[in-house]
Amino acid sequence: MVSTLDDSKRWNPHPIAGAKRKLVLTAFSRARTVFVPAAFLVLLVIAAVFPEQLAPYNLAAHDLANNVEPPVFMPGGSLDHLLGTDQLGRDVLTRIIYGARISLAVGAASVLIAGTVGVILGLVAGYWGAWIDELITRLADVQLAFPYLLLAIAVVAVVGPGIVTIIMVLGLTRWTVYVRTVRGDVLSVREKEYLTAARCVGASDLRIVFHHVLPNVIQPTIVVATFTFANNIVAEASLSFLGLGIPPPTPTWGGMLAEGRQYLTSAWWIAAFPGLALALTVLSANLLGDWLRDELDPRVKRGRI
Amino acid sequence: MFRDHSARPIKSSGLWRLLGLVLGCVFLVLGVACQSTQEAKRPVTSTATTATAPAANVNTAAPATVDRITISQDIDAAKMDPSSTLTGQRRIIFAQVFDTLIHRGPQGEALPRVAEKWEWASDNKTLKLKIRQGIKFQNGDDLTADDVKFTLDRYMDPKIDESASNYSGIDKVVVNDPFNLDIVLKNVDASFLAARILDDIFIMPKKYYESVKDDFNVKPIGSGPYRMAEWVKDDHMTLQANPNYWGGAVPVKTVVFKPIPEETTRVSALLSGDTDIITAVPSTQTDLIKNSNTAVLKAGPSADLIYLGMKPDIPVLKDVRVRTAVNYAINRQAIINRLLGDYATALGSPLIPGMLGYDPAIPPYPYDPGKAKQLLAEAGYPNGFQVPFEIPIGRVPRARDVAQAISADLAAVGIQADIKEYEYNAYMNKLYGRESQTITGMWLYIVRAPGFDPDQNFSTSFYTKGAWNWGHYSDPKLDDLIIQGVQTLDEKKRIEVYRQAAQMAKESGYWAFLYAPQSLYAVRKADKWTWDPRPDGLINVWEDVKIK
Amino acid sequence: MTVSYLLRRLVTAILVVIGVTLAVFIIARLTGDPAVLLVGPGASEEDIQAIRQEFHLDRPILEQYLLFASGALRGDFGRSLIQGQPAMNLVLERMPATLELTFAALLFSLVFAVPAGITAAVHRDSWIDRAVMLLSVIGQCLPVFWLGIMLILVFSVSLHLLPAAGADTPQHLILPAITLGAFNMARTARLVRSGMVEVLTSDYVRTARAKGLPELVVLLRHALRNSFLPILTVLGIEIGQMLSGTVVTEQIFAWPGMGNLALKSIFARDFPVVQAAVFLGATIVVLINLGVDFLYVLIDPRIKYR
Repeated sequence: MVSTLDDSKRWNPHPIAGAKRKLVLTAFSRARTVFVPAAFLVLLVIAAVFPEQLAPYNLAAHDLANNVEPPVFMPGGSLDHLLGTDQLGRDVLTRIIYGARISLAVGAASVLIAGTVGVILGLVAGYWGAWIDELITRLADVQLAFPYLLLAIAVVAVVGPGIVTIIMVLGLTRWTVYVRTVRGDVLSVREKEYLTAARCVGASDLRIVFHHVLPNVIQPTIVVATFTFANNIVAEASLSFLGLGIPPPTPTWGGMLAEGRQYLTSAWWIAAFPGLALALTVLSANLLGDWLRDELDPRVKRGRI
Repeated sequence: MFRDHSARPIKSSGLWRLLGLVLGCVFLVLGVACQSTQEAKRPVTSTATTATAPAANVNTAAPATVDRITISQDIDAAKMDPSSTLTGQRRIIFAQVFDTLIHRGPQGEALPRVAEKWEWASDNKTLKLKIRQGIKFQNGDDLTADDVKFTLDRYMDPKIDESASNYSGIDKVVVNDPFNLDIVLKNVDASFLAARILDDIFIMPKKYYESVKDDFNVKPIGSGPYRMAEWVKDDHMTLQANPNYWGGAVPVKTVVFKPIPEETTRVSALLSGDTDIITAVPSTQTDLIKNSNTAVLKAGPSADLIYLGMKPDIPVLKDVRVRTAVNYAINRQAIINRLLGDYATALGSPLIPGMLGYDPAIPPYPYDPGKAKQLLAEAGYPNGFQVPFEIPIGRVPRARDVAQAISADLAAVGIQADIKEYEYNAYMNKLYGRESQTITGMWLYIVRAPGFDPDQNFSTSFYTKGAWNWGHYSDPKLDDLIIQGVQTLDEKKRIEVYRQAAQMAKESGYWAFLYAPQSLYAVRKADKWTWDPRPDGLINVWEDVKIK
Repeated sequence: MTVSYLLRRLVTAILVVIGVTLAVFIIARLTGDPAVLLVGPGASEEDIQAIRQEFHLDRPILEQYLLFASGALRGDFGRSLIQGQPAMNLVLERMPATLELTFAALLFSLVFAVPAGITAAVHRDSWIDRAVMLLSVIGQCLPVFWLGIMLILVFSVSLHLLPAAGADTPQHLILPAITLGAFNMARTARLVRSGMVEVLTSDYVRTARAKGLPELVVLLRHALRNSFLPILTVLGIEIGQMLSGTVVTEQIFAWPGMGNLALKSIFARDFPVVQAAVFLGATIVVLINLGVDFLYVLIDPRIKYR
């Protein structure tokens, strides 16, 4: 089920794609793997920012008398509702457009929280080492061995379900990946000459960490963030399935997918279109992540020079 | 007679199980320093019955005509002790294994079962019961009045039974001789038989229970038509026909309960032939079953009532005109028609179809947004108001959709009902008013009256001190009627009292009565047998399955 | 690998298990008082208090934890509040089903992911590579419950090939294992591919090729062996993730495993069962990772641990 994709990076933060590959990669195929997903994500962001202008209906518009209407291309469908209506007679397209906001927000905010916590802990663990490194590593182990659903239910029980809850749950459970990546990278740059030089001229630890170490570890972090972003969007759907998602009437792709499963055999469009939106988003984020990893990998770059 | 291991198919997944077990043991030894008192065992099988059952009665075994019927509900029985809370699902399982004190017939009439005869003493507070002689528990012990008293005492103990308050009207249970006992009530209670006794008291064996204590939860013994042969929790429970059942032959040899929590999977399992009867079919899947050629949809009455509560001490909800406006604003028929597939009856009072005194002449509030707006204006809210609308996750079927439909209806008359969802236990704390939680406006919930007696809905939810009166509604006149209703023994007069009370409850607007959903089941089309739901929501395989 | 290193790893493993159980203990108790939920609405404050006392819920949390820990050391994890049985027994009854499902899913994911990853790496930038990568990305887009329901609709309802729910026969294992394994299969394929690509472009493979060794020998003896380490690490993590990830799969397929039990118990605030389940789960995860670390050393003699 939902899981942290990039735990795998523990053993190697920069899987090298091979320098040669870059050379043969033509502009055309790059456009395919980068431009299309990037354009799709940009579109989503626009949808998320201006749903009122883009959506054909008001979000609150219900019409129980016209529920489960099929999409336009099916018999019985109409131009009024291009992608059909759901069980409460709401326009599916409208809800997908509004849902983009929530899905992107959940993905981005949880990544931001997990990333900030993870990068700081990773820097501390990697740079200062010793007992604090041991402590942080063990803490990460505890987190990894801890069932995150229990945490999810606990937060839902205490705070109540909602966007903030989901962001907190995902943010607080996904930081371990970042710790791993950052810590490993810091260890590899810690003994580099320019750090020794900086220390010699009397730079403080804090200055060294932020000015010299951080810039070197931030790129792989961005790659990891792309993947966790994608995973967190899927995770929201799984939490919805267990009844712990974002409550109605807020439209979320995961929620629409989870509730629409009841209608798969009678009104497939209620779940299928949000599912498609979710899958395309995750696909785009993953493809971009792949590309970023190849682009930002210092060894690949060095190979090019 | 004895459980036949060889009859079960040999599993090649047994290798995996073995590997799992071995690995598990290794981990355990490593992980726990001295895990010596307990042992890993799977499956949890009950051997109690085989150990103590009389051995040589095979030829007296009834000639069963159907080999096996599998029933899938959403949850398993957590434990097989009937004296703790009885959820609907557990009642269905218990009904096969245990005998009830007095049986409820198809029309709601009281039929003898363990109690052969019963009558009220002249004080109308003492129920004198004569226990049928010759009933044996599945371990060979005789069933006597002591067992009945033992069972009732457990039902009444709040430390054992979550719903002990239901039996708080019982003063004491007195055993006169091995086959005669009295149940003495504190007050006259006209609802007692229907609400508390009929198919509600599952008789447990005192001697056996005291010898196994907590193990009874996994190795139950009853005197019913089936005995438990095997139970792998949350996977399957296999019940075998009890060859010594006093009630005679049963139509089905083996009954298997196979819980399937996910609704879509439950329906799929039925359609693919993995199971024979499923309960709690979601109204979204009814067409799928109707269109299939392997299964039939069956609808039966349920004891449930879905309502929207309005806490009367919330400022905006204080005015009865506001509460009435909410009632007029809700389009019940649209909800029933578009969301529930017409498998529900709109309600105007706490009386549900099938209940004593149910009166279609107390109709639901009609859908009339104009009238609602007018009432709101009269109450001083011409532009409506904002109010929290708190709903549980789970428990109320399709709560999300129903709540959103209601919320949209209310928005149309200017009331902004903000839906807030709560995880089930957090919601219960709110309802119970515990841990400084409370309802803050409107709420959506369900009440259940399995005895179909009106008192079950009135004295719990509309009586000032009622246990489920979550909104603390209080009307002395209604209280008087409720007490009168429970003390009136003449049925005709009693019905009159409840109709009066129902009218008052409707006009109070404290609850917007929404609908009484039907219980939906689906049954695999079988050549040899048929099954139809009974009005009380139980599945009595031994009685309800008919051989073609 | 020295004895002291081994000891140190064991000690930290125990510390991690203690940390997890402590966290569960505290977090569970934040979610509310089970005593309130065990008694009905008509119960008095005394009834609730009696239950609190019975399960020590009225003591300070640290004292409760010490009681739990001392019990756990004796193998006593308390009784289930809901099922009236020893909590650890209930969990142990379910463990084989969960391990069975996890290992089947793992096997499924490896059987497909490793060859796919290698093929993609060997034919880098070809259409095979693209297809494998695309499929693996798609595998990561599907929420587990969605995949599970789809598989049931196709293989159980439409084709009548496989059972939809339960754990009775080996056939019952197929759909849940695919559902649980799909996500990891996708990820493992990507990892194997990138690991192989890295190895294949390395100097020693170039040397082996230059020596004129057949390509298959190069691939299997030199390349695969060296890309085995990262796969091993991933395996360790994946088993752990799958163990906690079975919840949704078990829910959909009515699989009678630990995830099913844990979810129910968490919702019902059945603390003893939650604690026993988390303890056992954490122990398994920690031990697997420990095992992976040791295997690492055995496989790769270059790795030295302090």
